[in-house]
Amino acid sequence: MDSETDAVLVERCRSGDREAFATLVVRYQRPIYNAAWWVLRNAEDANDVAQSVFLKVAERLDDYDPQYRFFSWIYRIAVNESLSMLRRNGHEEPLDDEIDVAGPEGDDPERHASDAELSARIRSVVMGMATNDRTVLMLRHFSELSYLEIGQILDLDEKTVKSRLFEARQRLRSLLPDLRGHSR
Amino acid sequence: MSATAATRLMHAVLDGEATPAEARELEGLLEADPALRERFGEWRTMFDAMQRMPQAYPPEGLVAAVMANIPHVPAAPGSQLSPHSRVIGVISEPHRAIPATSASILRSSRAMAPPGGMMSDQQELPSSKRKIWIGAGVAAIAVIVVGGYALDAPPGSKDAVGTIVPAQRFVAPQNTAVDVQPGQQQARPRIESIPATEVAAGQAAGQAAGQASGQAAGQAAGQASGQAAGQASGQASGQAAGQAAGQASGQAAGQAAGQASGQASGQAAGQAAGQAAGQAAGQVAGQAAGQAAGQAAGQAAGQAAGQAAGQAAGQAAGQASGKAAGQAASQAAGQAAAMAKK
Repeated sequence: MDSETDAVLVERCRSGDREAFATLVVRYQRPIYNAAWWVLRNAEDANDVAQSVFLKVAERLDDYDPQYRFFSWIYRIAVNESLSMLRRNGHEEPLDDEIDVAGPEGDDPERHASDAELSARIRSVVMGMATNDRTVLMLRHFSELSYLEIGQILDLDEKTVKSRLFEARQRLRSLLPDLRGHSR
Repeated sequence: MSATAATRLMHAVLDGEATPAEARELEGLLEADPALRERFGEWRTMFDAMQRMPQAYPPEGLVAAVMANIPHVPAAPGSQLSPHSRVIGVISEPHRAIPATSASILRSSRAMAPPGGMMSDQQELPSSKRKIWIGAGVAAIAVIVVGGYALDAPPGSKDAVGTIVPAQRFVAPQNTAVDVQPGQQQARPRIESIPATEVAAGQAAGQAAGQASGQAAGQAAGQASGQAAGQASGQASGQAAGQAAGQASGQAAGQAAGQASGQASGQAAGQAAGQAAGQAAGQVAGQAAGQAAGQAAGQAAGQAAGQAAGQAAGQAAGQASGKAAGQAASQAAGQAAAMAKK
């Protein structure tokens, strides 16, 4: 069943097949959890949102339009749920302890020599950025969605998506002054 | 081209969203401008690093928690695994009239049901059973009525009508000689004036009419009782079949759900138990192995040390005693020689 397409699994879910639904949950638990985690920056909240997302998917499966990717649809629910939780909380939760936001200045360039270290550092910096910036960066770079799909998820046109991405990247770039030493 | 426009073009190319014409344009710009080429290299490094950003791992129980809280997956009407089979679905029709705001409450109450998940539907069975018994009773009555018609007992309306038109009962005595008395002819003129052919015709007409009315009445009664019997037995069998189908589909759906959640939870529990068991076994085995190794090593070391010490001590003692004995013997021999000289 793992090899079945989303469309087939969704159709089976609509026929009341719980096993098919469990397969979808297993398939998307990680990206959905990560999407929530990028927005909320808190593991416990991300877990709550991920569970809530799958429950909503089960409730609204009849509303899903198969002409769109199932992935995009479920991502839209995840992002909206995460943003709703942020609004309900009234403020952003402090960063989890595991997230280390390193200051961009005064660091030894040697410390960030490897690609893995650079990736981890960029993630830390992104986590310190505003919600809108990290959401759009997450959708493009972590989830690898197209401008069109990002627009569908955030209810934005493609031009606005491009513009938001450009500005978020400019801000991120300004927080990584030592990037020049890494370029190949 | 401005620096901002060039950067936007770089982003489009690195995102894979640039048109072939835009990609060619950027290529030309990079060839002509080394500084731009360097900037493009920096952006590419950042994009590559972002693609490799580490992912967070969801907690192990996420799937099990989700599956445990999902009461049912929306099912298309008439589908095989639909939680509501047609029969039970009709009974539970009022649930659909519950406002959307209450739907979650209904669902959460269903979530409390066992993995079978269809207990809320099965709770409505008493009403169904009552209907089945009523239907069966009606069917039994109808069968008796139909059977009665088929066996002609008690006498049917057809026979009753046939005897009510007794042409022979009136005519036969009139034809006997005893009844025909002189002077009494005026007393029964009417009877005598009826010809035999008319009597026969009356008989035939009466019989025909009786047959026709009997047939019609019998047919109507038969149809009515047959319809009633058929409807009742159809309802009863339909309810029974629907109930069986509902139970079967409920069982199948419940089984699937149970398996899914069981697998997930079993996996988590298995991992935890495996870790704990492995840790405990490792500790025990490590302790035993360490103890055995310590004992063996201690024994070997002790033995070797004992031997070496014993040898050394024996050698030293032998040497010392040899020396002392030699010395004593030589002294004694010297003394003896001196005394002999004297």
